[in-house]
Amino acid sequence: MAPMTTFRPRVRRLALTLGALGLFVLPWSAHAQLSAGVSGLTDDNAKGYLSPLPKAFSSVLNTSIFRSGDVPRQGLNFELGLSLMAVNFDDADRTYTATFSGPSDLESAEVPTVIGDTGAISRPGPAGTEHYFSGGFDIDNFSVGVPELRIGSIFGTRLAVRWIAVQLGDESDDLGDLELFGIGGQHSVSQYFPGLPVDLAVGGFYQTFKIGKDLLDTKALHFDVTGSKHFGVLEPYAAVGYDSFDMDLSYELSDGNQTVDKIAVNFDKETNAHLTAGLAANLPVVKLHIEYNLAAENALALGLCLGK
Amino acid sequence: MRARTFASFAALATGWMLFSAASCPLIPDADTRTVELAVTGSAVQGFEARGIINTYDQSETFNLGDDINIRQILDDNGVDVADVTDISVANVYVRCTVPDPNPGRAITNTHVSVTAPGGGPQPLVDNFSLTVDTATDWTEVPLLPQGVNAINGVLDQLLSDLRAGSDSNLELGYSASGVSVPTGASSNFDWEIRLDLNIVGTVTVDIYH
Repeated sequence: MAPMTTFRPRVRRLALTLGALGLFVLPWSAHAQLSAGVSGLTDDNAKGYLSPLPKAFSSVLNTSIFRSGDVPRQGLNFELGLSLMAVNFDDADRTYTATFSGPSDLESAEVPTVIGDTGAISRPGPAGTEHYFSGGFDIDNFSVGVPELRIGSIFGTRLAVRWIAVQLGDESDDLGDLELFGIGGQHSVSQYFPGLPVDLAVGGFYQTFKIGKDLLDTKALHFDVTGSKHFGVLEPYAAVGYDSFDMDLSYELSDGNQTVDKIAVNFDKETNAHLTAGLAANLPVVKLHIEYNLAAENALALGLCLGK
Repeated sequence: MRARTFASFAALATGWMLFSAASCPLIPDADTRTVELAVTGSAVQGFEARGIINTYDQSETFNLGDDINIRQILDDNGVDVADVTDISVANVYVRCTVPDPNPGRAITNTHVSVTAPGGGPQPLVDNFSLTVDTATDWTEVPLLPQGVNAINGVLDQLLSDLRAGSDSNLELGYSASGVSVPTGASSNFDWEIRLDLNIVGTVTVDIYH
């Protein structure tokens, strides 16, 4: 039987994925050419290394969706614009507890996550072997930009849509396509209670974000109740909500000629409460907003829309 | 623009600029990072057991430079050979790929040794058993430091050859011996041993965050 060489994993594709996550729908930004080594990583350790990403993604995707509790009962209103969302990572996200076979027993060590320190960590294994855990990319924050459209209203209901698609190269060598799609809406509650001191609406929004055929597959769901009040052009708002986020990553082992195995990393579903406080400025054509969110990670968002 | 509207806009714009001046995470920033990566390369050696009764003793030799394509692994992961800091043994696994038709067939008391160029056999795997009447997943096996050290010595030489720009012709010999049970019946199965290597190096990347 001829000897065979295998690679574990195709790190470049994983690296480009992480780079694309950083790029994320800002097509005029240069790609961050990241490389992520995952040597010695079991499936659990791979989840640990990438663990900051689901929380960060859940926070940014489920942020800056609904910025007002005022949904007109009838009439044409629309907003077309861009939201920028960012999270700051906690120090606790910089390391994870990796498990490995030690000289005599199963052992554990605190090692960098993908956002942690850049130096690799080694730990002795049995019989003079070494377990290596790759360094991270020393990242403190993570920001994304998303184009979006809001249009309404019928019976106090308004539709919201997010969408962008970017071709990142051929799927066999690079990543394939990046696509974000989100759809949802808000329904006015205050229309049923004319005496309410604030405008109140309930909303829901579903988003998918994918890279390649199945390299990265995420699903985000957000529900909230948003209240706001107009003071001239300024409109402070606040929301109480719920986030759900699923993320799956898969990559292939190859001998350079063909796929010999496929590795899937399925992260546990993230569910979090989501609190928002923000301020919007509704100028005649331009609308600006800024908000702060307490969610899986704390997130800051800014947005600019053109609309009526 | 009305004074009240202007004041509101100015307040919002001032807030925006304050966040920008304070290195607001919403403003993309470009940095360079030198990251130490650890990737894994694997080499698999197969053994065929045909007509063996009771005890077996087989040997194979493979060329490290040909059969563990370190250059390809490094290239795939954007690591320059000059930036490699270590290549070493990570772990060893075995599995049955073609099961024996005899139910209950297993190999027991199996030992694997390795022979580095210019050296003698060094024990690598000590006294493991493997069921071979069914195809199995990769199974970790108990290692011995003598064999691990022998392979690591060869890998150090391989890395030196790569850094010198030459293709390595280093060979590593594998020998496997043990008992095939049930005894008295001819064996007919295939099994493999997989050597996982750590390949550690640094890569410099641009980060936009």
